[in-house]
Amino acid sequence: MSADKKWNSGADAADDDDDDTRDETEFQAMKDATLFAIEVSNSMIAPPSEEDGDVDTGGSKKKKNKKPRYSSAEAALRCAEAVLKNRIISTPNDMMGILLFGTEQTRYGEGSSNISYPNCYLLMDLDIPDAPSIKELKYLLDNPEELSEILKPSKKPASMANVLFAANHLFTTKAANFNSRRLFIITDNDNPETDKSSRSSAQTRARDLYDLGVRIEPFFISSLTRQFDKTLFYTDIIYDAGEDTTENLPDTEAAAKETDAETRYEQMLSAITAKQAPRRALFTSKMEIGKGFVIGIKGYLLHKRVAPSRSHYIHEQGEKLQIVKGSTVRMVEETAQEVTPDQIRKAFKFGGETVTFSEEEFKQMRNFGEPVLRILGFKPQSELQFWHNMRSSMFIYPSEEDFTGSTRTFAALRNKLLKDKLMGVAWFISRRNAAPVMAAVLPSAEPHGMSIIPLPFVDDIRQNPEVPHVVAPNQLIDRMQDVIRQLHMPKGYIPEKYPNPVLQKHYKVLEAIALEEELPEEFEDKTEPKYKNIEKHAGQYIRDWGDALSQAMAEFKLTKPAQVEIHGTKRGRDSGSAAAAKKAKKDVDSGPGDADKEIRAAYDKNTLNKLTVAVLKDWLNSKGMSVAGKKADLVERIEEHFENK
Amino acid sequence: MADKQATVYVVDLGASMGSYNAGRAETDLDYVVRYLWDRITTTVSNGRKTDTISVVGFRTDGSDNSLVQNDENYENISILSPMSQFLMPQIRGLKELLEPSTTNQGDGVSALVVALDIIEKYCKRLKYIRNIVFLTNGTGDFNFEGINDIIEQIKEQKINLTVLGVDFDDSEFGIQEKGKSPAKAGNEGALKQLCDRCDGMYGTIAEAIEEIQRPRTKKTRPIHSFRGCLSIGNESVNPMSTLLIDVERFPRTMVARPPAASSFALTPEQGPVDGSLQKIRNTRTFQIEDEGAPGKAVDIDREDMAKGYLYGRTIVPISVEDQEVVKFNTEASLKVVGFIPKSGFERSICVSNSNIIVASKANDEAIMALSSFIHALYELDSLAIGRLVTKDDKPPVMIAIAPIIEPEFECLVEVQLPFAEDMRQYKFAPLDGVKTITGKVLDKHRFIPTQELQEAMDDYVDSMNLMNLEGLNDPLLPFAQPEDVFSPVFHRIQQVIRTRAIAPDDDSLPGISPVLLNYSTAPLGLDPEEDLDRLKKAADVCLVPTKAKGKKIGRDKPLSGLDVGKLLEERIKSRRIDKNNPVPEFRQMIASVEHREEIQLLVQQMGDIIKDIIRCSVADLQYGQAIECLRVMREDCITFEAFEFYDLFIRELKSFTEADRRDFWSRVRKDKLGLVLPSEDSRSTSTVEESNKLYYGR
Repeated sequence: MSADKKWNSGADAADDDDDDTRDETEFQAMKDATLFAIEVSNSMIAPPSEEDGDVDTGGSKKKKNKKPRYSSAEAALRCAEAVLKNRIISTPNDMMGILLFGTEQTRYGEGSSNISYPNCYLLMDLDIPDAPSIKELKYLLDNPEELSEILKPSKKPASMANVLFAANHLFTTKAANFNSRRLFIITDNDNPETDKSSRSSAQTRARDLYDLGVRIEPFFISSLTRQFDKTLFYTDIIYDAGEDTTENLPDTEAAAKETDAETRYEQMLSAITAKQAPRRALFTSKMEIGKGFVIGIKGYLLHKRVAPSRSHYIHEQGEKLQIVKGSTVRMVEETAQEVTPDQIRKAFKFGGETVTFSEEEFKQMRNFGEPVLRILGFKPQSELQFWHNMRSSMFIYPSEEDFTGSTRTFAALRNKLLKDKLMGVAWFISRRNAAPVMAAVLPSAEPHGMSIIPLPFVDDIRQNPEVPHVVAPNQLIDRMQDVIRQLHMPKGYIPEKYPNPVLQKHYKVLEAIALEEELPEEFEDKTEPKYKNIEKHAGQYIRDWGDALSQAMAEFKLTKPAQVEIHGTKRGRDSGSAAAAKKAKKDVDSGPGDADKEIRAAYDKNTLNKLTVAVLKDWLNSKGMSVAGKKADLVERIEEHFENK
Repeated sequence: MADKQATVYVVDLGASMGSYNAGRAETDLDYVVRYLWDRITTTVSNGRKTDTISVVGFRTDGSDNSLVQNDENYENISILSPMSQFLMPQIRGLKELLEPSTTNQGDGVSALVVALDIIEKYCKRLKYIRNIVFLTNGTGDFNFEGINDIIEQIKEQKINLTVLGVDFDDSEFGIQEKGKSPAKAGNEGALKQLCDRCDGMYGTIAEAIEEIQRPRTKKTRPIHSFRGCLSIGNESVNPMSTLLIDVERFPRTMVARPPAASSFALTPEQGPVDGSLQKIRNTRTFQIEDEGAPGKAVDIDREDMAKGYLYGRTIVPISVEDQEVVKFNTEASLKVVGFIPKSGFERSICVSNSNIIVASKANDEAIMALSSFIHALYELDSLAIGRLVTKDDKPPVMIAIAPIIEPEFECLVEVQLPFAEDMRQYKFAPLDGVKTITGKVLDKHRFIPTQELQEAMDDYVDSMNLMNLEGLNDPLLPFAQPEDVFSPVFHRIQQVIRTRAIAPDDDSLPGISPVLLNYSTAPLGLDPEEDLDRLKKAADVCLVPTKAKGKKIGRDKPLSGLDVGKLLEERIKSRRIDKNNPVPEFRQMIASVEHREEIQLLVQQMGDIIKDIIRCSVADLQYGQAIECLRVMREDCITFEAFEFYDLFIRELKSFTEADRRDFWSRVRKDKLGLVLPSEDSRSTSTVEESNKLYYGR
């Protein structure tokens, strides 16, 4: 996996100073290991009783009989499975494991010869998930008998000290040096150790986990008859992690009061999903509200493009599949001598030669002072134009780590900005030597906090293309308004409704191949417009608009007779011209076969250099090869391709 | 591509240019040359072959031009640099020639004719932007006889003439030279007249130099990034009720990136002074792990490699057929999904730069159709949500589309939106209430602003209203409007490169041009002092001392406040670290030691455990665990001011790994767990060299 980075950086001699990508690599360097510890007891494996369900449905009549009714333990396992599959996509380098405790059987991975953990069943070892373990989990969930065999409770419950020590051992041996290590405890037992000495040893073991940097995240299940009381045991083993203002966090535990099984599963899932990604700060910095008046903040990325995992080269000849590691050797172009790192100098090309600076100077030239979010003043939010956008925004939240009183001050500022619809205008340096930007600081209603929106500089603003100015007559605008009204989505854009079809397909296929399942035949793309609805609600209005457009054009031609030939608009009514237009386009845009021939011919004639970068890139793209680097790199890559053929 | 350009700089090199005037610490020539170099290096940095430069000197000691053979009027005029693309050799060559001569002979107007001649010969009748920039102190001879012909020629060839003079009077800029000689005054007048008559620029050099402080913005010709149809409805199913408009998409904002530095190699024989760096070529080799092979890896050929992906830890090879299945096929299109109210749209959700969408320019019907779309969106205060594929088989993106209506221009502007997977579900506690362990919600807490703080904040924010301020770079623009703010890094790096290019021996960087820092501090012209003082008092923000941070004071208790320390007493007394629980026990014990010697004992024990882990490790499986122990030990030794013990141990560990665990040592090096440096504890005397020596063993 470490080969990825080498490949990428090796592909391009010019080093990428892109802040954006740097943010993201730093971000990913924070690895997380999550261990699910699920209690197995008679109450945890009991199917939700009918009575409970009835009591509940008395209020809400939404019970669906079709849905399976899971026991708490099974629901927890299903949650774990869902989280597992999700993580493979979103954070493929994170570890996960599942430990059952209170089981009759005892199973613990290898490497524990000298210690035993009775009544602990390590269902999935703490590791980066792989296909076999997912398959095993799936199999269990599909085969109730085998599942119930494993989920058989022991006569007496497992010792909590043991459970915590087992977790300690797993985190120590499997997830050494992970920045984030979390233990999710799912249980309905609020008072597991009544005996004083075993209580004490559980408390000691919990303290060990705290000193190891493992954070305990409990998910408590209450029943109708009994409310889970965490003060009986759990507040003695859970620590304030201190990294954020966690004392102020919303309730960690899933208050699964509902006994209706499906709601319980869904509640548990949403509670766990909410916690599944550890909050990783992008930066810790200062916000300078006024001269000499500074508070502490942390920055987060709340949305960031997720790209499909990159492909690897694989060696299939050996006994087992192996990822091929690529390494780049740097050589002097003329002499082909290998270059050692201390011989490398970074330089700018200028006037056909190079202009060199020392390492120190390279840092210095980018240095515009200490990292800070310095508020210059305030403007109404309406001053922020829609197009004033360069990249994802960053979310900031106060931190008491460096400055006490930051939270209240930040909250007061946010209140004021929300109330008067104001925004801060700020000079922003996110990290040491990061490029300073101007930013709009907007209050965020949900989640509570503020957003930093980096603004364009004058250098980033492109000029408008030239287009003749023709304004549609009111009557045509009115028809368009009718169309828009029909297709109104009053709730706005809800990202959750639009999964990225490329990612979804990518992982569906990978999953199918990895788990040896059938490849999905049809694939639903939720980003496609809902055509049926559009036709049903707006079809007639679009036709009306079309008529109005023809009329408007007729009038327009009368007033502007000198206008040269009117090209056919590709509007549906004019299907003839639309088709013609499309055909015309195809002629220009030669098919893939032609491109192949063209490139091949150019290669044979040694004229690849004469082709444009766009053509080269298109071709490389079509071969799934990297398009990084300069033109010379592209040409080289293509030559290499044909040489090896 | 931008138009071809040819520029002749005519520089006065007369002896009088070597004099110091108007209290300046530099000669007239140095003063003028500052402007000259800025112009030339700006041209060089764009790297265009079709942007050529020639430099002519007049009042030079010798004569070197093609006209002098037939006419002695052209004496003391030298072509310093013939018309060509300027590269470093030209820069170096020119630098040596830019010295004041020993004569004041030589006619400035004749020099202008030489420049005209160069342009005429070089550009012929081709399409060029032709420029002549004339730099002088105006004290020499100017023979304006026959100037009418010259003016005709300048006009006919459409040459942009710029005349800039040292201490030329400019009432607008506010320069009036005292004690100006009548000769100079006469020349100034005549030169001004010349410029006026051929639509040239005339000015004083001080103004030009001030002008070059302001970064120039480069215009990029708009290049479309998508051409296709904006559609509502499904054309193939309902051709009669599908709205289709031919549109094109262009970037509205795009990060202007500073030039990127590339890597070069020093040749072994040469020192770094020589500046001649060698190009580097990257060669890639491919390896797989092989326990048996030396170096535990073997090279493999490209043919033996297949393509695949990782699904978690599992390697999933994808056959050529399957690759087609994995691919997500798309067609270039812009499909409208629906419309949303603008009011509820969260700005912070946008994830990309912005692009504008206009109708195809040759298509009046499309222009009119799009106009109705733009105006309808505007009037309904709505945004359109679209699914955009810029090219066939490119991944689709979701976009929000807003209308822009300007007096003579209208378009749509579009920004990308996140997909479901792009959302990170972080939870943040509300800022308006605090929930206790028992579930009670408090509205008075140290995290919640008091009424006094809120009022102070309200007043302060009101006092910092920027709406009445004008732009710091262009007073016609509002304060901090994007159009008024220059990209600091972009211009800074260019400035630094250009300065170094003309003065490679100068080993310090020039200061940051103040224009780039205009918006780095709160503006003057606001008067928030009183409100700020009140706010500071009400907020009572305190810096947390660094010491307190490291030791996590007051956080070592569980939520219930139980005194765990008591439970640990027995364990701590034993002073024996359990090898199955080393990290927590080491931490707990070191925190409770009373004498420094005890730390040494703990370090020894921990060290033995670490060595044990390494010794028992199957290949490198347990290295991570050992590294973690080592890291914790190092951190705590620094915190408890006992780094000497760590240094002792790490030296010992080095020799321990020497035998057959060298790969562990490379992990130590990678994680920088070597000697404690003075930057980590000021008492340390280890130098970076010593530390490196330990790391690399050299």
